[in-house]
Amino acid sequence: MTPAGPGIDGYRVLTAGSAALSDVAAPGRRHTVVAMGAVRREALRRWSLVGAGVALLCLLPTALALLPSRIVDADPAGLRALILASAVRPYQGYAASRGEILLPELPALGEVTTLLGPATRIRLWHASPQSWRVAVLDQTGERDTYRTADGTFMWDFERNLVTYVAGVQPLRLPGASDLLPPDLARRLLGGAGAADSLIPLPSRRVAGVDAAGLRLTPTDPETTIGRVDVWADPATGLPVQVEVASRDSAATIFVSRFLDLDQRTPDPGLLTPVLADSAGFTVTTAQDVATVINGVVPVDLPANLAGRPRTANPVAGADLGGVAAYGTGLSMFVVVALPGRVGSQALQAARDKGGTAVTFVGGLGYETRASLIGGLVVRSDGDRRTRRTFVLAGPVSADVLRRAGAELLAAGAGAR
Amino acid sequence: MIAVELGKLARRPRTWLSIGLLCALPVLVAVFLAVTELGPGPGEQPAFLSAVLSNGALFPAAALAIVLPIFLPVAVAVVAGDAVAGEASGGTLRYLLLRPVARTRLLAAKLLSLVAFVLAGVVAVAVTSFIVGVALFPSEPAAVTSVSGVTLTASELAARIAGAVFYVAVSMLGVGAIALFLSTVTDSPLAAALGALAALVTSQVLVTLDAAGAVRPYLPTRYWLAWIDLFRDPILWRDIDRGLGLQAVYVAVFLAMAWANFATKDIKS
Amino acid sequence: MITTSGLTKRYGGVLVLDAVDLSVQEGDRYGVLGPNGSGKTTLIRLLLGLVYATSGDIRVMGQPVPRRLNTVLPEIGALVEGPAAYEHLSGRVNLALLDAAGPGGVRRTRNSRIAAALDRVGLAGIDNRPVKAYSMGMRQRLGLAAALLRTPRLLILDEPTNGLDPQGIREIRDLLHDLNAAGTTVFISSHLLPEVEQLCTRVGIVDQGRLILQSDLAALHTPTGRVIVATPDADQAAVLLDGRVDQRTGDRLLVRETDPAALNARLVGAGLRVTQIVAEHLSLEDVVLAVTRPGSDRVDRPDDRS
Repeated sequence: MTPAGPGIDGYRVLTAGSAALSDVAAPGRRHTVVAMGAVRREALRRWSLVGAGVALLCLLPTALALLPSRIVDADPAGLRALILASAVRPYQGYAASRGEILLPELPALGEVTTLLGPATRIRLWHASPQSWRVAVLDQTGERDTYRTADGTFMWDFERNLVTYVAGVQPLRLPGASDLLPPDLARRLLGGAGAADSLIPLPSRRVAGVDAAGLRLTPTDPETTIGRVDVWADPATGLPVQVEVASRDSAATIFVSRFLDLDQRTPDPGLLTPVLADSAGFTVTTAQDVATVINGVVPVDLPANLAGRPRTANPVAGADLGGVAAYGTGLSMFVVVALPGRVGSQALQAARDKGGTAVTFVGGLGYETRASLIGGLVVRSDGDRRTRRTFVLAGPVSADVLRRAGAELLAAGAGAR
Repeated sequence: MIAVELGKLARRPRTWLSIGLLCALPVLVAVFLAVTELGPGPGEQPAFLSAVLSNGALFPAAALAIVLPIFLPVAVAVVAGDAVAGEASGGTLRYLLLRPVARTRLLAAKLLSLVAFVLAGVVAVAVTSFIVGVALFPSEPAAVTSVSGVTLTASELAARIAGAVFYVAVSMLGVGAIALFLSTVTDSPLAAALGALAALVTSQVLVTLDAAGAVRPYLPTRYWLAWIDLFRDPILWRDIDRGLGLQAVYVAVFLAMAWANFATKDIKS
Repeated sequence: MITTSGLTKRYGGVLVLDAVDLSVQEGDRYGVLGPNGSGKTTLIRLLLGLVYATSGDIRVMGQPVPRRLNTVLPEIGALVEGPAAYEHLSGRVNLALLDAAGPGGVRRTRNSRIAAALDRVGLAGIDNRPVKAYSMGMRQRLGLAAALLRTPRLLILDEPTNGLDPQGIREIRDLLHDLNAAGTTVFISSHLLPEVEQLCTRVGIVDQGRLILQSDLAALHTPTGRVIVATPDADQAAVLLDGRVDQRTGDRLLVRETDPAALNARLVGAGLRVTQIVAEHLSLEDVVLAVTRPGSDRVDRPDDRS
């Protein structure tokens, strides 16, 4: 039954009493001023609470880092003496080095390449110069070096290999321990000449130590090292941070610092290698190490190169033949003679890594330059049997290395 | 509520499927490794894999290294991303809230069930990989070589693997918390999971980037590999402590954000 | 039972509900009627604290919402925008999980309460099939069972008969009648006129976010002041009632007259035969069509729209 629609009129009559109907005649949107609801305020309150918490968490490390360290004033000369005398101090801890020195991966350079490159994490336990352990950590393993009275044990997890070196190594390529603040600082400061300037630096908090700082600026024109900053514990003289910058730019290109440090004698149990039976085991003598590990061929190296005397061998009688260091202090460089095949590899590597070709009388060479360390690989002309390859490297100017290279080729350092 | 969430998790076929897949990957790797005896070279990931060839009892550690970078975080992101968004897209969220379940409580229950899932997954990986490792490789559980070269006894090994399982599980919570937060933002479980994975990939890229060194200590994946330090001798606690602290901060921050967002959110699904 | 004042909700810049003053008394069977997209579901979400008002107040059972939501919700059974369940689980497990999730779901009585609720909605014989195998109607019944699980004082149901066949609609209507008779206040929303007309005692009409009418259904069915007469002698009747016949279709006349009895007496007195005589009442449909505009699912050209 559908009667004629009542129409709007009928509807109005019907529902005029209803309060809600007053709006019907004006169906357009009423303009409402929207007050912020309680819920929105609540949301705002919650978010500001969270925001404040996050800001606090973010600022906390920054604030802690900005906490002023105790000002330690130390006379730089006195501090340097204290640092040089600190070799007998025991310590243990965790250190990190970070460098921008990207050396070409030359076979002769061994571990040095990785050590000077991006971040290296090192654990160390040092009782005395004759008894220590250093562990270079990485994401997939660890390489430990134990120095004991009996000799040196080296453990490589990934090769599952123990190498035992009997006796004392007279001269070797730098290892992890040489790049830790104590050894590095002592070496660099020990090599400083009387003319080099020493100025104090503001003290700094490193691994919980309020350390006094000093800056060494070498005057020797032939070194590439622009400055060496060292911070050390003013009480014991133990260096805790070392920064090295090159002469060309003010930016620090190598940092080595303790992240954790404990200056107590480490537990002797940690310094004794208790190595697994299942590991492979090699025994070598110190004499072999240079030859086997570094691939050195016995040759006679000259007593002087580029006007620098050959550094005296630290262990009398242990003649190393193919490895020698020249010069002193911050402008020292090393020369390694390589046997035929290894030599060719080194030359090729230096060329492939963008080395600049240099021609010499009686030979050729490739020069590589990381920001601090200069490298030069030279090879004398001749057939496979008579030619010689040398790697020269050190924080010295290209000119010094070239002169040394030329002299090496001219001297025709022959096989013994 | 927590029991209900655990019940839902346990009744979900997807839960068991993803745990099964997590366990299957290391098994697959073990089979290939046992057949070919070709371990990764020095310096190559994953850690411990070459050591497994000489002692299969170390395989749980290698298995953790295998599932840690991708598989585990993906599983966690999927489960966490589904936590609230899945209920929202299925329509069940409104009925839970009408039940009533307080919103904060619901978030807490979701987080706890996520923790349970992660733990179950990691423990399952450790257990199956131990069995597989012992079965497929020459094994001597009582004489495992630690990363530092020291021989570990069976109980030391068990304790360290348990520690690694715990640490890896905690490491996943940061990603889980991010996914949980995103899950309260969107109604799409997939979007939440992908968002968390995007954050994860970003973090993993930045961790390896020297130019990003300034932010590296704050990245969620920065200390992910620190569990390897449990297998050094003595154990290096420094990064492990920091990793645990960092994950705690991530969970706190993103849970707080999830709470702030969800507690006053309009449920329109 | 439910009162709102000035309830307004915006999503972003869009005004979805505009100053709604709702009033539902205890014991009502209240129906909110409105076209699709008019804001019915948003209103229900607001009442249940799922979304939060931009401005305005809500009181449910005398308690402010959403502030005291946790004291109010346990006494409410609700169905919002269709039922939802964990698809891979059976209906019973779904109900058990939901019951265990919140307060008041006593474990001891859980199974018996689930059985009773399933029985009420006509799912007593349900097996362990997962919900994904359920039909639309079964899902709807399961959703209702979930709402009834703890004998609520207030039922808020959004489109409760969605997906049900006519038989099922009838069952659910009877069920809601019974529950209401037992003291449960029933609040439903629907876009179906007959559903509201047949179930509710009170009706609110929502259009484009505004509650444009709220009234007892009985009051809407008032006489229009006209009487419908059917007579084979329509021509004579039209002459007799000259000037009072609004409309004639065949032998049916629409006469302006408030008293059908008096009209009947007059027609019979004049010797005319009357086959049917009844006072005209407004139908709900008339009211709704009069006060609402086309639903939001219809899109006209601007100039077509009057």
